[in-house]
Amino acid sequence: MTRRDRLLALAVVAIPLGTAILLPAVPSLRPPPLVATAGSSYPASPIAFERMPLALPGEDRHLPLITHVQVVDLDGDGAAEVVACDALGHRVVRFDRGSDGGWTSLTVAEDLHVPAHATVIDIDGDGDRDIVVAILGDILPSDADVGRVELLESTPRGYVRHVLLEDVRRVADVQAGDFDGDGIMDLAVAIFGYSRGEVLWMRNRGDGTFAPRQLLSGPGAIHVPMRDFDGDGDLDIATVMSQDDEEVWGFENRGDGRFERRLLWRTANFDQGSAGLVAADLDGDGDDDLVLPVGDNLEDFDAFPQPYHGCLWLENDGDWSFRPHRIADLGGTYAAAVGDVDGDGDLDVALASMDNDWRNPVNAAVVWLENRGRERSDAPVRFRTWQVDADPIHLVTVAAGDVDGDGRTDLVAGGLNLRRPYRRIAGVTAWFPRSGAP
Amino acid sequence: MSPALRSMLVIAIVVELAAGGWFLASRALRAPPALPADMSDDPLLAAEIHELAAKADRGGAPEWRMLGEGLLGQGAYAHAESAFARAAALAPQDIDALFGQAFCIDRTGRMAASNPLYRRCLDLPDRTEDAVGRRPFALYAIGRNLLRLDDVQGAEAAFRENASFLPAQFQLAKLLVRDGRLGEAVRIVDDLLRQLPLALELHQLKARILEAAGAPAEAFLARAMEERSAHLVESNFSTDYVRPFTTRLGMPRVLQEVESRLPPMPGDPRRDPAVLEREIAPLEALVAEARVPQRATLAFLRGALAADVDDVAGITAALGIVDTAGDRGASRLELEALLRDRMGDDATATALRERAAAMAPSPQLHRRLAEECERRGDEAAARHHRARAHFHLGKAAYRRNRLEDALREFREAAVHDDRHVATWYRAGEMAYHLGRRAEAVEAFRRVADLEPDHERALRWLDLLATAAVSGPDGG
Repeated sequence: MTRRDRLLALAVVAIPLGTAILLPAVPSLRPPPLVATAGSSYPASPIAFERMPLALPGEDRHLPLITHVQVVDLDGDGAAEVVACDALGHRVVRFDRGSDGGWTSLTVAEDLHVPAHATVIDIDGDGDRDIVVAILGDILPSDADVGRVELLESTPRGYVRHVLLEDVRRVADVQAGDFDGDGIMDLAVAIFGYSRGEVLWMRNRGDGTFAPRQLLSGPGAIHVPMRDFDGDGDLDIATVMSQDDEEVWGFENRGDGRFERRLLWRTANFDQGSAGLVAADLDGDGDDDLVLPVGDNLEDFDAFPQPYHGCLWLENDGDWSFRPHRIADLGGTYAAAVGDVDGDGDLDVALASMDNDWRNPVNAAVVWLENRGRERSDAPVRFRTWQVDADPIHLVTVAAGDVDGDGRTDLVAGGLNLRRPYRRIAGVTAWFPRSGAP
Repeated sequence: MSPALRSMLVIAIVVELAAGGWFLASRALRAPPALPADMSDDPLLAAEIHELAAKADRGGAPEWRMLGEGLLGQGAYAHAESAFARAAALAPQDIDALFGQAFCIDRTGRMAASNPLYRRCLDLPDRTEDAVGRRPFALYAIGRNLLRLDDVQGAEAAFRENASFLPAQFQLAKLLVRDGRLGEAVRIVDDLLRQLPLALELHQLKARILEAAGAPAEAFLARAMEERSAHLVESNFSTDYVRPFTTRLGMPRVLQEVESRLPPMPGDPRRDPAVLEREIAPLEALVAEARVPQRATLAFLRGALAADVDDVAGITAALGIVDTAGDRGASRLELEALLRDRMGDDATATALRERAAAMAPSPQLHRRLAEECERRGDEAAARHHRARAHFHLGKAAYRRNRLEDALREFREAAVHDDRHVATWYRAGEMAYHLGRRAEAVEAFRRVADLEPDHERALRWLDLLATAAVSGPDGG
């Protein structure tokens, strides 16, 4: 066999062998396949907002869990403060604006086991501002009786704590109003629970204790806004249920502590993720409508924006009939607030997103919906969505009000940083309009 | 070598070169795995995902499916979809790959696109690793997606088709109730309750049917069964499906391994602080500066281990990390109480435990506080804590459907505090469920004596005054 023949024989063996050895190491010359994206972003707001973090001490090393923010005059000095429920620090905190424009935080009450909502109200009629706190008891899904309603009674010595309701499941909201016309404040309570829950009203016995009465049994009650929805002169209650069933209910006050239950809206899509309920007269027709943010995906370990996420306006047509209108499509919408953002005399809506597609850094975290009124008298009110900011992310609560006393509507939002990504995050953030508004 | 043989060799070489070139070119033109750009939320994750991706790139369908599951466990639905799609293309009979692809498309809001894939799953051989397999879930997901698309009729048909799958039948019954077809709904619910007598949502739905049918008393009793029931209908399978994948990679995997080696009770010989310390320290170093939830988890682990061996410095260090993470909850108070114990500062330790019990009461905390109150001679406070310890033990037994145990605990709680309304109310509920009408009536009367406007106790007393109502377990 010649040398050439030997080379030929060797090549016959070496070529497939070499190919097999080389094959796994061959780098790809193509890019990875494109993957699905979603989420929503909107044109920049014509009103330019300045973002300002209202940080708690040490917050830059925390994963803040803010469950509720509001703009309210807590100390009765005529100027609004920002009050927040801090579920990580298990406390209610307030943020005060100093004369130099800087902000300071102050713990109002601690040892509150996952506060979900704080309502500022003079519950005992002594002329000062008490705080009623909805205690969730566990930020994660739980059917245990960990919920409570606690009263922080304002006294000259500070807040004194009372437990008004216990041995119930996770409480998401509590509101105060005189439901039975006896001149003292009763309570409406949303017990979210997990697999089981309920909606209560609690009659004030007048001795500092309350008698619970069930309005509805079922899991997932988030908020209990109160208004005179039917215009008959007394306070009614509404709620949104969002676990197995996605429904909005009204409880018509029939006097003497009697309520009649009315189903106002529902969807068969049990994945919808209703995330709250706000009462407001969006169309300025003299009755209160309901604003329903939709986009809670907490049933999944990791969430993704869905095509049905956004905001519904349930227009009050009278006689307990509410007509749904879709007014925004923001992915992962978790909270809504109402205020006159552009100062034109009608009510606009602010929305915050917990679960937009955060891989895209331009996707919206906060938007406002400009109320553009009706085109015709029989047409629904039109809304236009404007983006306020793409940061911070994971926002679950938003409020609108004049925080800095300049007569313009500011926005405040809180982040619940339970899930990835753990970047672009904050606790409480405020946005102040700096241009473009009257 | 003959010329003919030489020619054959030359031809073979040419063919081999062509084939090898084709293989190499194909390989170079393959699409590499799609991976998330940023995996910095978990310091271990990027390396582990890249290893999975490298295996997939070199391997076949099982490796691509493993990559898909790993990505899905990290919430990277879109990237997981891409990996599952490759696995499904390489192994068209692999139901796990196709189901994973359909699920990722479903969870990213493309319901109409995911349903045909779920439908294809129905024609594939099912998993044998578990009793139910994937096919009933695929058909259930089709119904769920149709509801998300507002196609209620289509969803009803899909749930009807899934006749042997309890969650689908539950959803079917819900749609029937919604549509006012109560007769068929109640037949379905009763049939399912025969299979699962303590299914919570079924009693919930039964109560709703009874309310709609104008039977409030029966609805109230169905609610009582709902309260007692602990079995959950798997109406949202997403987390159950994804959960096993979440602990395969990164910090969750390591933490699960460490926690599995940490028996909860101090003194257990398997709880070797030295060994666990060696495992925790490197993890702490990984997350030392990171804003990740594992930082506090590790700190509580360290604190518990340090307390096991009375290591004051260790508990102090753990508390420092918890404080840095911002957690001011009951667990933090209990950890500080452990520190104060070891420093001999009993008064502060007790005060911390009192605060923790007010925030998050538990039998263990109340027992401990009862002992401490006894030691300092405060019998009234000790009785209060003993009562609450028994009350919470009773509720825990009730949740496990151990009614006799629960009733015994509630009775014991009432011995120590006979003015606690919730104790008597729960005792009444237990007695009803055990079919002991007289005992239930007595307990509810005690509630009404203490709170004359207690709506539910009064309702129970009304119902128990009716001869037909005795309790589900006889009596």
